[in-house]
Amino acid sequence: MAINILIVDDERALAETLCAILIHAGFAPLSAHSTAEARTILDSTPIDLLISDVVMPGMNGYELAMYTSKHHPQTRIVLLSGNAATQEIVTLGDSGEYQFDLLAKPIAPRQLIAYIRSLFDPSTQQRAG
Amino acid sequence: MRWKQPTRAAQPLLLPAFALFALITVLAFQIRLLLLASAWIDRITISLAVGITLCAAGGGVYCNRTLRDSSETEVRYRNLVDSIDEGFCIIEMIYDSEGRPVDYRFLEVNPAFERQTGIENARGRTMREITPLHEQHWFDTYGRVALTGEPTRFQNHATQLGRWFDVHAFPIDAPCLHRVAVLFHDLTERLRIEQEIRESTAQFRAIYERAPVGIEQVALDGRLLMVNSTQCGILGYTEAEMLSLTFEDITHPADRPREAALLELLFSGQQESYNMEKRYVHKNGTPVWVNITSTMVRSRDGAPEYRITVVEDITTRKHAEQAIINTEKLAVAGRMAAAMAHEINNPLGAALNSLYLISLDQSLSEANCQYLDFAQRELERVAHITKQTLGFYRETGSPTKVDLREVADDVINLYRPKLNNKDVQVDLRFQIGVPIYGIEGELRQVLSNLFSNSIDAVDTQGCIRLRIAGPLTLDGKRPVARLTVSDDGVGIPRQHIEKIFEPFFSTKENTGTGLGLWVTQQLVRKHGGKIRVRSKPGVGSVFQVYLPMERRTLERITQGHGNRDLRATA
Repeated sequence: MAINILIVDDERALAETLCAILIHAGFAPLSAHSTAEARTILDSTPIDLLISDVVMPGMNGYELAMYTSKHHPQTRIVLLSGNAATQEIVTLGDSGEYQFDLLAKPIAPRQLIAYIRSLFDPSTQQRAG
Repeated sequence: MRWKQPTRAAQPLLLPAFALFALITVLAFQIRLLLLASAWIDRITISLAVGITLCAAGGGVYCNRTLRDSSETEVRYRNLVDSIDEGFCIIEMIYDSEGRPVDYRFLEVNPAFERQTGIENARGRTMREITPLHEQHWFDTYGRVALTGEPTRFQNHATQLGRWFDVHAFPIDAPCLHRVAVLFHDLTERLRIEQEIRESTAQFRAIYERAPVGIEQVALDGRLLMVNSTQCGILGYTEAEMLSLTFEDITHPADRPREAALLELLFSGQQESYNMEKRYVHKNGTPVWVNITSTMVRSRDGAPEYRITVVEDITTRKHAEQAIINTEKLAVAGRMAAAMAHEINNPLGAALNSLYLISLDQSLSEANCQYLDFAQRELERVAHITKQTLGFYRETGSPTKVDLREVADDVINLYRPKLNNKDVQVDLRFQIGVPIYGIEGELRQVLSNLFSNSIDAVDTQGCIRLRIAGPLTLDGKRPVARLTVSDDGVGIPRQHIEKIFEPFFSTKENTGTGLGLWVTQQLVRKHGGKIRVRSKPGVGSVFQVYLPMERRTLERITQGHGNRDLRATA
């Protein structure tokens, strides 16, 4: 069964290349370039994994993560950030109400693929989304 | 004809002598009339009369002259006595039946007498009448002068008059008259002023010596004329040492021109004082920050005489200010790092992704595959460096068992191109079995920073030694691992050693951020470790990092950071 992944990043180049990599790796990714677009997709399509940038215009990645966590609790969430503003997210994320991982940008494609596989590998005991 | 000046004692006898001769002449004439004497008697009588008349005339002239001289002396004496500021009196001593001086009478007083003593109409009265409580010593002293004829000078207090006097007493007139002339003046006001000066000098001394600020008196040529103990303390010199110096000697060379400009304003009279923050140089050579206020003291005609400089030690404040500036610099660096990380990481990510996608193409030639591989490796290095120096580090979970050998290999590989460029040899040695618990990324950064500095320090064909040893027990404490990075490079000058762990201290112009060793020290401390450095310019440097090896130590240290530790490293 293909794993549905939604990639959200306002940097198109990043979102599109990531999409291509994941397609090649056998996943079924979709891409969105804004949080509004991402919410439309989330509300209409079952998504197994949300990979989102944090700093974006309008609703940011953290708010999108909270929205997703609330409305689509089955979706796992990974935030990508290269920015200090994410400090707050980590603190809040630790409170237990919302659970998501945070990865530092840039992430090497091979590492990302390995990471996603480990998330959905039934042999490892990862937490439920 | 000239009169011989008669002795003063003979003068009173002359006038009766002339009168006697005149009387004889008159009597002789009467006798002639009675006796109707002969012509020879007549001639004798006439001669006698002429002689006597001449004598009488001469005597009259002489007497007149003597009287006039005496009167002039009297007038001169009176004028002198009346015009002087000193009090003057002539007193006559009064003794009791046993010859003890008990009082004196004022025979004469000058106009200044009243001003100097406050006594009115003293002439003819005795001292006991005027001031019954006048001290006995006054009577004893004047009595002695009158009896012995010895003049005396003294200063003493007259309680009832409420005054101090400076007195010169000397005998006058015949000793049997027991008269004394007294020349004196009132000292009370002068003594009061002197006392005030003494008190204010004592107050000034107390303030001067106990002031929490340094005070200097500086000559026009810059010599230090006077310094208080606070000032000596600020600069570490003794007072004697300070007084052999000039203010320029103790002023930091960099601050001299600035002060010279202010001094110019002071000397030209455009300003009375100036205030500046400047550096002195302590006896031990370290700069001391001070805030000084220097004021010119001028003579009555306005000519500069010397300067008084008040010195406040503001080294502590300056350090605090510097700390604030450094904190602000850090904040700015943090914001800049955040912005740069964002701007760099996104395009970097896109480029890495694109290269990865190209690498999936099976039809690439072998050469292109190699170039592609090369491009990917180089970009990964860039990504690694931005994460280490500009970015934010994320570590998952609690500290893990870290293989320092792997970390060392990683770091050496990371710098392989640079090492090859400079043809630098790396000598890597391990003591087997060194387990350590820590945050791998951070330990990698510690080693990476030290290693990178060593590469910069060594010359071409230099050598870097990397040693990892443990467990060691130092000072009988818990076991530690020791990580040593040494090089035969340029070394660190003595004056820089203490500063190398300060943020923004860098000797690498243009290339250094001044954050590397500071970050390194922070990370080592976070792991409960210590970092030591030894260096000799021209010989090389040795950095040693001691890390605790017990797991619990590290867990305790990193507990506060939580499981999701997003670390700022810049």
